[in-house]
Amino acid sequence: MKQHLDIEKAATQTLNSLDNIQQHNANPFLYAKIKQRMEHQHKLAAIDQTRLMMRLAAVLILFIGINGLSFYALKKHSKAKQPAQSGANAFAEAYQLNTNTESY
Amino acid sequence: MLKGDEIAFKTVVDTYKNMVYNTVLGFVQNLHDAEDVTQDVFIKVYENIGGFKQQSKLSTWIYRISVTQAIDFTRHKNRKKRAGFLSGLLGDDDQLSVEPVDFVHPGILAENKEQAAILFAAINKLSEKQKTAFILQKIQDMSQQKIAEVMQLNEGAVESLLTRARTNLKKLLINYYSSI
Repeated sequence: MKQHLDIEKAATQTLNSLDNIQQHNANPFLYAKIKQRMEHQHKLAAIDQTRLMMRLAAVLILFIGINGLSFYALKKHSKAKQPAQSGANAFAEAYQLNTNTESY
Repeated sequence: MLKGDEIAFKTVVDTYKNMVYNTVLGFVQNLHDAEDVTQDVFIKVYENIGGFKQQSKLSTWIYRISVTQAIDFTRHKNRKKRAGFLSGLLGDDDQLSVEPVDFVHPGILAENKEQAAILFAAINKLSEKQKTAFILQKIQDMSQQKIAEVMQLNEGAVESLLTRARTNLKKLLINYYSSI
């Protein structure tokens, strides 16, 4: 019983141990530290933004490059596939027959 | 400060730094972490001052941010601890650890330091709301009305939280003293 009372008393004393707690002073240079941290965060954000812009620029350049190459390849392909001259034209050219209808 | 005035911000930091630091210290129970979280709080204040509706006092709004930041930090730290020590899952959560507690609040009277360390370990076993109400009352010496404003609850709810916090702490402490 006595032991139970002692435990009860110890628990109550512990529960009241925060009475009259003193406020602890924060770092006097807190503002300077906050400013430094905010500037650092700002720099990091600027670096992140630059990186993002560079990535976007790279993607854009790649996109334009692919488009240019596709255009070039398509043009080359369509030139190669142009239909052969018709038989009449080839004949006229071979025998130097002027097909020009304009009169001088 | 609403216009991004640096002098105003410095004034706010200088006025409320001890209030924020001591509130946060009660939650995180580590001097170094408390300073980091205090810095986070003021950065949040600076970034979100535009959202301050002036319906409550600036101090109440800053208290609210302090409590939220401190709880978020503690949750994050506990999550990391849990991930690191899977064996902790096997422990009995209702029992107050009998391992020596290492946090000694610098503002506590020398003769109470040992008991206060045990109490801080017990406080960590409370639910977040009970812990918040108890810390604001005991460490910040706040009235129930002010606690209600900070926690955005009614006074009756705060009273109930404080009563349950004290009852649970007493149970934990009795278990602790019975086990040693």
